[in-house]
Amino acid sequence: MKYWISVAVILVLTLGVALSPVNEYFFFAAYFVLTAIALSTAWNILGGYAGYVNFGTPAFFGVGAYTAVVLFKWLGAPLPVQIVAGAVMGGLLGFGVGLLTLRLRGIFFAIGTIAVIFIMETLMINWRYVGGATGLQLVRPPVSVPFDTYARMLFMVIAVVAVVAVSIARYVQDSWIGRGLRAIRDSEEAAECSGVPTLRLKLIACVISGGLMGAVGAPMPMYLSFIEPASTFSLNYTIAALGGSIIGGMSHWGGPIIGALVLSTLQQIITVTISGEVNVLVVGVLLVLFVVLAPEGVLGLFKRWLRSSK
Amino acid sequence: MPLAKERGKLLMGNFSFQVNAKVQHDMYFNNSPWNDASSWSDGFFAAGKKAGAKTLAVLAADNDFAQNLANGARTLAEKAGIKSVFDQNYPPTTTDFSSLIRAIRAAKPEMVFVMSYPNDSVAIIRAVNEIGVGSQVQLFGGGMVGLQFTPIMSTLGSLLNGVTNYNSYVPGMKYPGIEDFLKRYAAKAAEAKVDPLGFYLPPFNYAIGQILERAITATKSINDKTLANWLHANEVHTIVGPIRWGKDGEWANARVVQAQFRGVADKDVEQFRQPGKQVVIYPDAYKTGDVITPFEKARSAK
Amino acid sequence: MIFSLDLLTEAVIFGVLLGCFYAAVSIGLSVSFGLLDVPHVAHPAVMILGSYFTYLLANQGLDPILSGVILMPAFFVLGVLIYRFYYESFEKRGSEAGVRGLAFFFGLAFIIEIGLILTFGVDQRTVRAAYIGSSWELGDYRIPYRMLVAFGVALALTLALTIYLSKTFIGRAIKAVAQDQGALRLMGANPVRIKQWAFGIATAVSALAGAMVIVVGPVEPSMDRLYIGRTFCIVVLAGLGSMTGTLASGLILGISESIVLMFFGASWAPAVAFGLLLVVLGIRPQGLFGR
Repeated sequence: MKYWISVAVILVLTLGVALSPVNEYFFFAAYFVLTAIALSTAWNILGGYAGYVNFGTPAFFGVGAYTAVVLFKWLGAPLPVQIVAGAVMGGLLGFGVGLLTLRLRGIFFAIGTIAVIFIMETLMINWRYVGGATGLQLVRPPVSVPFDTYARMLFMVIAVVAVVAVSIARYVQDSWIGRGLRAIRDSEEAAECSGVPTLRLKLIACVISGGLMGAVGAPMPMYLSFIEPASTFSLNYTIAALGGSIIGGMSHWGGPIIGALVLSTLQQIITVTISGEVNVLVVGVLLVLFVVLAPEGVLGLFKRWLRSSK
Repeated sequence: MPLAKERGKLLMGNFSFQVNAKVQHDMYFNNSPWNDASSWSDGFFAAGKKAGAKTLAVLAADNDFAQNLANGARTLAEKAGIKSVFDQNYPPTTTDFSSLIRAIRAAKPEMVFVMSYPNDSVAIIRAVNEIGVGSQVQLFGGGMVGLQFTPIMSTLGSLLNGVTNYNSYVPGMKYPGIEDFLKRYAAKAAEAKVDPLGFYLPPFNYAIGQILERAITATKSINDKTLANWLHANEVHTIVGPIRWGKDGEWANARVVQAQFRGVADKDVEQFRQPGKQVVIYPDAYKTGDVITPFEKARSAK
Repeated sequence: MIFSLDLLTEAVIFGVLLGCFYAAVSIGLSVSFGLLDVPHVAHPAVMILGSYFTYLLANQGLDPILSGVILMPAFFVLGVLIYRFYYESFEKRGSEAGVRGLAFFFGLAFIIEIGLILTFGVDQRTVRAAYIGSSWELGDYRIPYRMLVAFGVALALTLALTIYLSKTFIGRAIKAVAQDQGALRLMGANPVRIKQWAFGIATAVSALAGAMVIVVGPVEPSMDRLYIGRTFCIVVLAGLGSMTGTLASGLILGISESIVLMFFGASWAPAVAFGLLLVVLGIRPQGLFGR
């Protein structure tokens, strides 16, 4: 109950900010941060709970984005439809990739997902309808009331997507799915022996995770009013999703939120003050530092601090 | 662009391409010698036709600008009745062009039009040297960006020979005042350690200053509107020749040079200062020689 | 699409050369991932690091391949350090090495890549050598010397490593460590020391592979991404840890990629390795020549 009240408060606050006369740059930065939170949360459902590393975040994200573009160009579909369709396609991709590689050890799944990124990118490069390697300029439809600008509206949209992602992650964590996934992470063989349907659980997690990533990707083309394969399928999304979860802490749904919030805010600051390259470098360095020194992430550090101060 | 239009400001384009096509700002003037996409390649096709080429291969980078120019070339080819036997776009990430060059060679074209970016241009020239494009090719090049840049020219050296490519200015073209400008530029460039030759961009950058100066002295005004009106009505003489603008602010008569590299030696920057290393074959008014065909023969010509 | 027997022959010839080169760039991974079971996704990044060091040495007038050989001892040490660090931080702790080990190597790859961008910029780099830029004319075919050099070095490297692993004591110990660490310990050998040695060799080999990469074509910092697909495809296809299998899989990939390049165009080529990798994972994850 407490959770839902805070969700409602957050959404009302977001709406308030979106309608207030805050500087446009804020929405630009906030969109980026919220995307990172949603992607990390989605990643954690499979990576954190079940311990299967998915390097393919950009593949799922990109499928969502391109689904939205196709629907928009073909039917002029409205944004909510684009997002739902992006989620469906992301989930389908998750199902396919999972079926192919989730029977294998985690490392094979991980490299399989890298392969999916490049295959999707190649397909889009060769698909003229969505602009090929050149990309496609999109003319945004007029913004709907009560929002003044498109950036404000999309800020609200991505906030809703992020809240949905977090709520699903929270639900999964506390349900039978989450318990099963944790059993898989601790010892897949033991889980298998005690009758846990491991493959089915992993597939469910992969579909949910992929679907959410697809939903996050869907509003991106409208946000940029442009789409192009190289930046859509950039490995930077991989490291953002992975980094957010690992730095925040993978065992609880709150971890990715904290991790992504810290990481992407830091990235925004560095991009503005130093450079775009350095911001990715910082993520890489933080990622390595955390996996080595604080494997439980910020949440783990916090718990340890609580215990020691008692 | 839209901002300049909103605020009613005069804007000089600096090596921009068709930026005013959609905005239609009537106070925009480009300094670069092209107008539409086909103005980049018509010299190339004119030369190819003269050499009797009937088939064409197009190799173009897959991005907006390159595709735009390649489409210009495709239209010109169709108009001239030249048959396309190979037409491929390569993604900007391509680094190894040998397979593409092999495929072109197998298609046996008589003209090869390439629209590429600096890194790719270097790789393509290297691959051509390594693999060869076949003895039936009359003309090779066209829209390769990068072959105008001094570091690339000196790196590739003799590999450039025979290639006919677009340019803005090459030594030997008779524009009043340009030689003096380049002499002054060369002295300063050596000091500042920038591009020692400076044929491609600097004269045109300088011309922007000249254009504005002429307009201001003639009208004795710095009002944007007055200056723009004067520029639309008059021809301006600059170190890159006389310029007259069309309604869209592009040159009324495009003057994209097609020049053939000849007798270039390796590792020598200074050689490019003398006329004859890049022979202007188009436009006719500025011609410094005739194109040598076929391509293989031009590679060994002095 | 133009099809002719001549063109196909040419694609196959080029594919064989390319395939041997691919095998050579994968052989280090075949040891580190195939035999030692380390999830070394930073392998291609380390290799590209080797390419850039080769570039620096070659600019001093050294032959690029020779530069690669000179770099090998330093990369051996680098490899030992990386493994030591990995062992202390992850393998020793045992549980959950999967996620964190992968994240570690992925982060390492990013750090190397961005480090290269910050030092050298995003421009492509090339080296000069007598065998770069000219071809051997064989009737109608032209075979670039750079590919022949890479082909020769690749064959020598694969052969040397195969012999080393099957004929020397330490080589056999490396193969044994992959299968049964306990038995090795009973024989009085320290498995960690052996793995560390093997990882060093794998990394040293990557230095030479990096030199070959820059001989074959221009190099840029983010190039490692494409090679993740190629190297893992070959190692998985080979069946983890098989050296001759690596050579054979390299040939399969090289020839398929070359044919796709020739007949479908450059925009499809990057997908070949990744597509093949997915197919292998789905159908025959133990590889074609699995142990």
